[in-house]
Amino acid sequence: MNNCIHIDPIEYELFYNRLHEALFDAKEAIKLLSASEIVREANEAMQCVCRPDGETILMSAGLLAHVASITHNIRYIIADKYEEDIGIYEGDQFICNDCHLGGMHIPDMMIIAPLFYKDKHIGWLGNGTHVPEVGAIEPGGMPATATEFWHEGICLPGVKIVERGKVKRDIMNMMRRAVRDPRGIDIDTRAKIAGNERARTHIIKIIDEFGIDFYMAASSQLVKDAEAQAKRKIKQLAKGKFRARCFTDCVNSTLQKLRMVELAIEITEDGMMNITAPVVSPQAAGYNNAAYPALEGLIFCTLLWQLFYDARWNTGCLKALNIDIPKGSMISADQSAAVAYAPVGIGMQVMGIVNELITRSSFIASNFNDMIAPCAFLNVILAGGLDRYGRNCAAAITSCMMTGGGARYDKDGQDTSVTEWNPWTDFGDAEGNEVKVPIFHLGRRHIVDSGGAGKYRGGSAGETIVSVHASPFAVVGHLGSGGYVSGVQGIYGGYPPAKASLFIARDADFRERGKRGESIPHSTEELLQIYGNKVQKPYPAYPMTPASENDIIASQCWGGGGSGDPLERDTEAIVNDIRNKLTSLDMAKDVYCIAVDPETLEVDKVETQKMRAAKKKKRLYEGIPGQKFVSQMVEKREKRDFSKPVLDFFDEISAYSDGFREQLTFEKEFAKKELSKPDVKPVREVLKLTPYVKIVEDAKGDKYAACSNCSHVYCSAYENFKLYALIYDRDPKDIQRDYLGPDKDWMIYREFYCPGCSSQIEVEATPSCTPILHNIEIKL
Amino acid sequence: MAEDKKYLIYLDTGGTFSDCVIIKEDGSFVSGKASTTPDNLATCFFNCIENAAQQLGKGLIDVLKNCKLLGFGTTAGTNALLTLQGPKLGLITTAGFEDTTIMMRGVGRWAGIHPSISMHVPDTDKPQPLVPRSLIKGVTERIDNIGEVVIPLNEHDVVNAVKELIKEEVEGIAVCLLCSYVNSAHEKRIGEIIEQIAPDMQVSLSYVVSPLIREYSRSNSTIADLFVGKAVRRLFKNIKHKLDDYGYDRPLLVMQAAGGLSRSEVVRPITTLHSGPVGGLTGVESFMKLYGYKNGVGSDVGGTSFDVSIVPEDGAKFLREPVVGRYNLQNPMREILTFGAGGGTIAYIDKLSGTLRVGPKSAGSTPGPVCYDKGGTQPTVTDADVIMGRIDPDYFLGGTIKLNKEKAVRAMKEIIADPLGMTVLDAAEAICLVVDSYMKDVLNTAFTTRGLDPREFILFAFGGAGPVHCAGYSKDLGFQKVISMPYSATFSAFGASTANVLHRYESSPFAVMTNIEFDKSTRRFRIAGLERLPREDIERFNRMYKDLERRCFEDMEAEGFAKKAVKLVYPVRIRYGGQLDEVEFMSPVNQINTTDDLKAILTAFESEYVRLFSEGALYPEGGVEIMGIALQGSAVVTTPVIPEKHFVSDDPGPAIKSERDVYFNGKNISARVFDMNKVQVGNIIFGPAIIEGVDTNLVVPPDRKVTIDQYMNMVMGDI
Repeated sequence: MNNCIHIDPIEYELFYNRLHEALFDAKEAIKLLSASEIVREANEAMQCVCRPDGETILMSAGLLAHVASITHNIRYIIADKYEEDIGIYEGDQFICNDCHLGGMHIPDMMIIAPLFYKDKHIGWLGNGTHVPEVGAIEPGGMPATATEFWHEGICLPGVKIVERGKVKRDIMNMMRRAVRDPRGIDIDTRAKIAGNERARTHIIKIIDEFGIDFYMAASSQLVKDAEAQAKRKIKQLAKGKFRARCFTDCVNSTLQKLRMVELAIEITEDGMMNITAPVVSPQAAGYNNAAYPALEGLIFCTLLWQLFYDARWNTGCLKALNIDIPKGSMISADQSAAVAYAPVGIGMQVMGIVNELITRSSFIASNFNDMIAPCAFLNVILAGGLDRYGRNCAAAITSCMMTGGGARYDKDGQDTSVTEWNPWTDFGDAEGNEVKVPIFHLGRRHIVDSGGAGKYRGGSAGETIVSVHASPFAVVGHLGSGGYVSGVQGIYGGYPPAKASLFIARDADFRERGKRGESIPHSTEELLQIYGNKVQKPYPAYPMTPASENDIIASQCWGGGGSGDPLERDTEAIVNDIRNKLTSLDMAKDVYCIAVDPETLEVDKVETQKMRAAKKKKRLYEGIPGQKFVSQMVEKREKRDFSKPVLDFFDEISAYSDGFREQLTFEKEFAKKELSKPDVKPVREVLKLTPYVKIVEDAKGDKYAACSNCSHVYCSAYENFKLYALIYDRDPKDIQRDYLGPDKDWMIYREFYCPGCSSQIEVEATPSCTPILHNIEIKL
Repeated sequence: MAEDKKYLIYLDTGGTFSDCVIIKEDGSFVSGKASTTPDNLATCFFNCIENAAQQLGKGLIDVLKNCKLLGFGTTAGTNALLTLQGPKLGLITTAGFEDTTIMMRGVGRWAGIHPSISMHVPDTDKPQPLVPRSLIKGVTERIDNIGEVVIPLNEHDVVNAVKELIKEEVEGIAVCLLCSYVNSAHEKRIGEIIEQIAPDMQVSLSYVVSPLIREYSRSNSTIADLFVGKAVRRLFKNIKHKLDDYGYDRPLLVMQAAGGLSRSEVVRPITTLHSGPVGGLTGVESFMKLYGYKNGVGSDVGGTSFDVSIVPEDGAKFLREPVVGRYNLQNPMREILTFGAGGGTIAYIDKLSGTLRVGPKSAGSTPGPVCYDKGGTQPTVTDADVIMGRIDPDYFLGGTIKLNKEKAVRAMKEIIADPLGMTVLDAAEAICLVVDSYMKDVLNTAFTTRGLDPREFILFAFGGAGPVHCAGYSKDLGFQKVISMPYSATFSAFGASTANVLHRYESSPFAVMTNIEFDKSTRRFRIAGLERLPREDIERFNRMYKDLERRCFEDMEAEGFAKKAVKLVYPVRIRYGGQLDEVEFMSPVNQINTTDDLKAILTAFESEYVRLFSEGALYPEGGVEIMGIALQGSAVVTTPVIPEKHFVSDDPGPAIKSERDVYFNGKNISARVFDMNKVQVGNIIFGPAIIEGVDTNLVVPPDRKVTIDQYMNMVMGDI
């Protein structure tokens, strides 16, 4: 029997299909009417219907992250007692973009409409799109110079825009006057008003057909279904506590410093997922913070496509999650904090952390299909000004989504096609962008070596090279981070992807060069070759700045994290990557250790074996035993023997985070601990913890972590096996050449090798001397 | 031209079966079937004609010698693209854009995959690119979006690229440069250089194949034209060769996805992609003409898909960027909406919610539904139909295939009924309810998203499973009539026989008008002159339309039609400035020379916009952008005449062949079964009933009746 629903299951399914189509139709209407490139190209529009208490019943979306945004805003309207004075009438609509109440950042504008049936208020409709220009201190919606929330544009915390079916012209005028592109906000607002009207018409028909009692019961059931489905999926995961983290160097365009987020998920027996942030940096005066609603939405979005993909899409799934994040931290910032970069910056990095956490748990539970290493976040070119017809325009160049997916269980990550918040990425055509804003493309290519190296490499990223074109006045800016560190991790011994950078060459004579038949730049590499010292490498958070037809802007996207020891990568796959200009010969030789003829690309198998054996031997020589490595770190911490960025980082996070201090104390104790080599005779394998580490049991029933390749025993199953590995801090530029590699003063690649067979079992991309992360506390 | 030839023959090669209709002089026709032979479509081509000829008591050669026109819808091109069996090709593109067809705009990861499946990102991958990266060469050049040359073509790069590709032994070279849709000079020059260096090389230039904005899909179309060309041309050659031997001396006409025919010698191979379902659409159009209906909608329920083609008064729309297999293309393709629901659609119990789900996965034709007894284990919609008695297991496709009902019942019990605590019959009916409801919902959405009202439309139901389910999926949508035909399973082949020779050409002029005066109360434009539209934009618009006309007349001449025999229409795509999606409508003019010309275009635009999005959505402040223009040229060829028959009787009694239990609304009801071959004009058949024939199986529920009309079609209505 079906335990989840108590109404006729067939009628219920019919109702679901009908509701789904109604919302899809309304969402498509919004897309067709929108003026926003990202709505049209990246499908960034959503339409939902909610219960009277704001709980989302169902949504149709390209932008899944907003599933809870509407709910938060409705709850604000209810809690603020609009009914008492502002009034909630049939035909009303309210516009909301205060991301501290609900949403991602100011450009994400939502419109909420009460749903009445026969004069009774029976729920809500809501929709949202990204609006390109919102009147911030810089054109475009995401000002890199912002230091506080009030720099980020017009804030509309549930403002009535339509009353009893009539658009309030005064409010529309106020919005138009507050932004640089009144046309854009006008069109997009009307599109959303029309979307709600369309949804309302359809849903009233559905209620007429099924009856109001059935509608109310079935819509509540849909929410309950989602909760039950989510809990069942969570129950399928391995039980225990999992941790992962990421780093960023970005506060805003003028301030860069190291900041971190460490998340932990605990999978409980009853199907709950408790999400906490044991260590997190405090919020800072710049645009790379996230308000809690954004964080919740982004975590949820990742879980939807990675884990809950076959559940109903509503906020019921959220009931399977307990999220507890320190307030005032960079991912639960207070109402004063600038947050413009949240959904594509730190928020997306958090999504990458969730990828890793679910992957680690899924591997143990043999849910291999749900595994994906951390995926990329975004660097975005923003362009605006006047087009050749003298019209105001502004847009984010959508090739920012040429981002890579993380490596999967037995496959590479997908190249240039994974955007965490939208399973249906479409980054549009260069020709489409050129008719929208006055830019001119010189190239859109894959970046060689951009995906994290590994047995399965991370998905490659792309880069966009543009100039301004045919504009009397244009401004160009860049939204991004990653001047010094890699913001995405690898997994199971795979490396992080390359660092993504921004390059600008002012007064470059490429038009004349082209006319003379000389080479012109189509990639960063060619830009540097042709213009050498003329090329500036500004920090990727770059404010909107006037640009001319002779300025070239090269923006690199992020790739995905790699998985597994690169020495195990199939040589044929490497050769294919070289042929497809995804991997360089240097990477093939130095990181993958294969002997390949640069001309014919033939692999010398014997020589390759020798090179790989030599590399493994070197690991045994270079790797420092875990306890000794920790002792050295403790000593350095005491002497404050760090680079300036790391020193500042330690000072800030030690003062702010109890969790970080606890980790430092633990390692101090561990350094002093007397360790004895376990004399273990395993009698059976209990489970596989990672592709390289298994849990074994001896005759007494004691459990240990051991190498899956050579059976070397690390430690008790309940300890962090990484502390018992050989450890080596690598300069990232050994792996990623030149500008692709992080700056070692900011970040090193901490490699962990098995002392028995020297397999590279984990890699942490981390500032030096940070505590070693205990990724998995398995419940046995 | 000999006048004694009396047959029109049309064929449609499907995934499992190929269908053929032979139409006689009096408009009556016979149909034939043969198993599709994917490895050599020429084989099933002739087997199928032979099978139909047998219905006439004739031989293959006999009918071919007496055939005045032979039309053909082929899947050869589609198969080549789906199986990636194509020649080794090279691509020359603008330097810096060598990865365009490799990156696939991100969309390549999920295009052609159902959203409920592509939602799970780790499970999706891009398909293999049609040209490997190593055979893609960049050449320095750049033209901007209004056609100005910013970086001249570096011919040295071109020569090197061509030589390198020749060294790699490519069999063809595709050329797609940025913004060539607005200025083709560089592509033309590259074509000339290739001609000089390798005169025998097959070349495809994007401005010829598809001069439309969007470089990714334009590149794909340009490559695909060569990629599928080899297989398609080889097939035509084989067929033509044999036809000559059999004494057929007229043209072989080929169906195109644009909805019309073209001679096999002239047709561009890529236009044959996905042309199969278009036969159904042209059939709907011909029926609309026959009955004098303004608005029609085709609903074709096959084994795996539910294809919907809406034909409003101004004609069916064209897809902006159709997907064939996993590739986004640009070539003109009539809009046929495809949804994952058909006879082979699999039903299952969702593990998480415990509810019944139907689709989108399909058992296809192999292994097919459980009752096919070819290894299928999961219950499908056809299994449910058989269990409920809607389909006679001994008379499927006229008895050519015997179905195993017992197996279907067993699978239904184990997989659906028992877990839901239902009887097998209730489970089967639930599956039909869910799939009918799904089809009804998507049909309804298809109308509302286009601003159309189903109450103004006639629904035509065809395909193998269309008549079985049309009562369910048309219920309560308010269609004026629901019509099915005795040959519904072969309707696509019949439809192809009703098509005209047609070519469609498109271009992207990007003509922009800003700050146009408008009436503040009506929000409509006030056009006082042409000054708001830049002179160069007008010239570009006019020049492009003239160029399209020239190409059309050239092609029509090759088809054997003089200019005066060609009917032209001018669809345009316009949007308000600032928007990103355009509205397509028929332009009343194809040149802008006077204020009235411009007024006519913009008034038509405003009318269509209001129809789609309401008065409140008008946005005259934005000005307008003319993004796309198209030209459709058609010429009439001989098409079948369906004879009108006289009323015989309203009593269908003589056509009753049996009675059997059919499950309706939770109980078995005795339903009369009628022989399609024996029903007569005027017969009124009340439900519950089944009307069975070799090529149809119409289910009439208890609350419906069917009238046999003057064309022997079955018109369903409420009792």
